[in-house]
Amino acid sequence: MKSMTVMAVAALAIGSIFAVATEAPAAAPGLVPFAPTSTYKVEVDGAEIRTAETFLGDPGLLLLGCSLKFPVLVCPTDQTIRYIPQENVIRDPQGNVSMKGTPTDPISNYQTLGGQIIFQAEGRKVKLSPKPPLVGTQTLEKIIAHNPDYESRIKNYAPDEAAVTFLSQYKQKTQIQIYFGSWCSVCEAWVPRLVKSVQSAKNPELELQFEALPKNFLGDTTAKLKGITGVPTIILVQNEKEIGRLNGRPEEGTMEAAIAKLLRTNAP
Amino acid sequence: MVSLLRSLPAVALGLVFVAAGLLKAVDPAEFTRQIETYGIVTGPAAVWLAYLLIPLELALGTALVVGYRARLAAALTGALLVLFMGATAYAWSQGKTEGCGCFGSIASRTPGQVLLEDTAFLALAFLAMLLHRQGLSWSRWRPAVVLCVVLAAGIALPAGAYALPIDSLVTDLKVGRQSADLPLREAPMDLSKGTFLVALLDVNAADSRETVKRLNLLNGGQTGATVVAFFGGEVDEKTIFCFNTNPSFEVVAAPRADLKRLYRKLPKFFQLKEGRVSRIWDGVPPTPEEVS
Repeated sequence: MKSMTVMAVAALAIGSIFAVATEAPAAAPGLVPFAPTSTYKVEVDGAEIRTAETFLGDPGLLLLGCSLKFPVLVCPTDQTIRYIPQENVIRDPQGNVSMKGTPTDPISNYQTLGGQIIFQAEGRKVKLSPKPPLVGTQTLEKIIAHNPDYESRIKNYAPDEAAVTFLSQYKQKTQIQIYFGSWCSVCEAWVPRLVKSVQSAKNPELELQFEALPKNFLGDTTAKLKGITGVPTIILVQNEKEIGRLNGRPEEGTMEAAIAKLLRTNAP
Repeated sequence: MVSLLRSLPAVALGLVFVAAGLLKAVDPAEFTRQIETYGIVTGPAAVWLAYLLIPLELALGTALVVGYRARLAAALTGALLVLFMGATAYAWSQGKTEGCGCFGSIASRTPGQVLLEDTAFLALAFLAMLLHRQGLSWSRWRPAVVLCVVLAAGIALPAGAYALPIDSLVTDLKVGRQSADLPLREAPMDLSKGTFLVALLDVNAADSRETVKRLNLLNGGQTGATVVAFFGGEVDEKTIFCFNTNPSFEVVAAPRADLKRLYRKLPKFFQLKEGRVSRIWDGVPPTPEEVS
């Protein structure tokens, strides 16, 4: 597993990049802004369209580059699909997109099925689905790009001060290996809390490493090798030896307090 | 005394079945969902099976407790347990188990634990068959009446379960309860300070858009309450739900088994004031006046 040292400055920089990327930018008067989103996978007639670009804005989800006649707008307010004339889609140098004028009348309606948006356009079946879960070694940037909620969770969390003080003064080089699922609700809640705590500790001796596991990971090689039976699992490693692990969220208290306790009691 | 000891296995097993039957009877939709997760019976067949098993469990349990045809009842109970174990083993072999792999649910058990538990009950059923000698002395008509009453209750109770105001008895959500005691540890904010309107939602419900529209009106503004919605499921379900319904508030995915402790039927809403549950609403969100 590749490692990534999480330091406050780097995290702030990453945070600001994604803050820009996930919020709709200001647009000129009369223009409706859209911001790029990497959340959706686009398939047309069963084949993934890798060139497709997706943008989110107030009117809905804008699809570009998916080999349809015009850009498509998916409107959640009335669950319709509309075209936007090509000349009404304006792209700025930062990659943001704005729409001028109004879209066409609905060309069809969409349906949601099993977490997917499905519609017909030009006689072809278009399917939008959330991107498949992350798998393998990850960086914090990749995780946030996949799930922007991680960023707000990190930003808004107020860590346990006593635990952060302990972590900030910890002297032994330690890898904090986080085995998680990008699909897992418990991970989405608890992993950002741990990240924020380690960031707040500003201790270069503590290194966060992320390994994303697929759904139904019990047959996964990494999970088997590490004896992972659930996610998140946090493994503390010093000098290439496991000194302790936290299986899931702590039974009580915070994640950072549990990690601090493990370091206090298990370190050689 | 010896006779009493001999009837202990039957009574113990009977109490377990009566308790299990009652718990299923007050939330038959959940029992139906559990049956469907085994992947053997689905749709209307699962509903029928649920509504058949509930009175059957209650009747067998009652017969064992009162000692009426206890050996026959123990044999039938054992057969039912073998059936349950077969279904659990099949579901396990197909990978159709409840857990998502997330740690966090304290209520759910692994299929292995379920099989172990059922094996213990099966042993009780065998003991009941071997040891039981005689039960209460019955006149001819009494057992028939008791069984009819239990069977009728087993049919009527699930049918009218959700109309009964028993949520505060059978769930952990009660007025006065502290937020720290609620299974909402995935909340991205401190629920113990300020005023919150907590919504427990079914993201697949047909009327989700209308519910979210109402909740958007309640979020902040004049109500002074922050809305936060929880649903039992995985993170990717949230993406499409939020796109479709456009909530102006935080939507939190949480382990379903945790949230299930708070409701029998969704949606459900409750107000938290300074960390205490102050009001609870079922079915539709409260009005701004009710929240204020």
